Amino acid sequence: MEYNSQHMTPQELLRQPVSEGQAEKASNSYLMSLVAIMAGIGLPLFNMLATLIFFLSNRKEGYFVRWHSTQALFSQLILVFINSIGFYWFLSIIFSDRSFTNTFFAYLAVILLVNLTEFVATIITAIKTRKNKHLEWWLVGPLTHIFCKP
Amino acid sequence: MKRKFFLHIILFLSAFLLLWFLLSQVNFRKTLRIEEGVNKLEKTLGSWSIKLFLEEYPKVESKEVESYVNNLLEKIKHPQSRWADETQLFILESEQVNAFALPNRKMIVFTGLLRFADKPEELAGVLAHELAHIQEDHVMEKLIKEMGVTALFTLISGEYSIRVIREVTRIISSTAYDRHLERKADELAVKYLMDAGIDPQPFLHLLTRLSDEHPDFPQELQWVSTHPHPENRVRYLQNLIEEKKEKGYQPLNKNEWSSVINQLREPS
Repeated sequence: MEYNSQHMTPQELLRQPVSEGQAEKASNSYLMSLVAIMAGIGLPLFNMLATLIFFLSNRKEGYFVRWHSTQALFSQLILVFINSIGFYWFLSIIFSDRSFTNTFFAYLAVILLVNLTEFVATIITAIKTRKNKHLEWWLVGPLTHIFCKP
Repeated sequence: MKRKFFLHIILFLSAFLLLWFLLSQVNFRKTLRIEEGVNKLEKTLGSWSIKLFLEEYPKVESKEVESYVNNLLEKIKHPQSRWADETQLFILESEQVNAFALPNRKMIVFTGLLRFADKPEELAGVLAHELAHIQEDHVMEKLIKEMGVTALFTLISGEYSIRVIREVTRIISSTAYDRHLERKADELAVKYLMDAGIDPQPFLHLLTRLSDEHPDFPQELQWVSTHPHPENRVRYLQNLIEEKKEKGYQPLNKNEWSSVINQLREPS
């Protein structure tokens, strides 16, 4: 079956069936961040680096793979940003005269919640993408559309 | 798509900040029993470290010396200050010119410092400085920084090994606090002295004398060698005293002081 991509919106294009190999590559872009966690590297920077490497190696792939690699990368970027604040806050408490305040613990609780949500969303998206289903994340999806064009 | 993204980012940030604000209202410190754990740890460290010092250095025998230094400390204590009634003083026989605060509001003064001080006001200055460390909870703060969180978690869990306690006593008696903690303690010391009607100038004189007479800070002069450079301390304290412009201090009784010093055992 052939499609004329010129008459389709990016969302419609992404909903078109892709080959088994393309679906697998798109799914793997999400799994990269999970692999880094499972390998025992808890630092968010490593998860992001794993998805960044995967993103760079998939630049020449089809739109479906590129789009999902970009979405996975942006989701990690957001996490790196908020986790790094928590990480450096923690270090500043240890190495300066600050103390463990309720505000700090509240921040930790919020980032824990965001990380858990992202973790669950990553697993679900990896499974769905593997089955050739397109899934756009809230917040990260529109951001990906801005940067990743067909 | 850009508009959708900006709407999402505003919603995300609002939800993030709102959740953070709401969770900040929860008393995590109480729920996680942080205060309770630190208090328990401080009490245990305090009693163990004082035990170790008492094993190494005998307590001063003269009741007159003990009562004089305790009265001097009482005079400096601000009645509204935290831990005012709980601070406990130990005067131990040693030639080291040293005084320091231990966990759980205990303070050690070596007889070497009493002999080194020319005037009771000089000793009062050092007592006020160590009292400030106690009032401001600097002791546990210093230990947390020096020993690290891991060691403290081990301690909180109840594994008090003699090696760790020795490390605590070493840190407390022979290493400096952060520069800004020392400065804070210096400034508070001057305030305590002035509030008690004691002239703070002899304290500054003691600092100058220590650095002039012993520029290399031998082992015996630990109190000054573990603190910021005396010249700097004298400079900022002098400015502080001039700012306050207090006058009319009642000099402490010199005869009483001489009698106290005569009570001290001759150095062996």
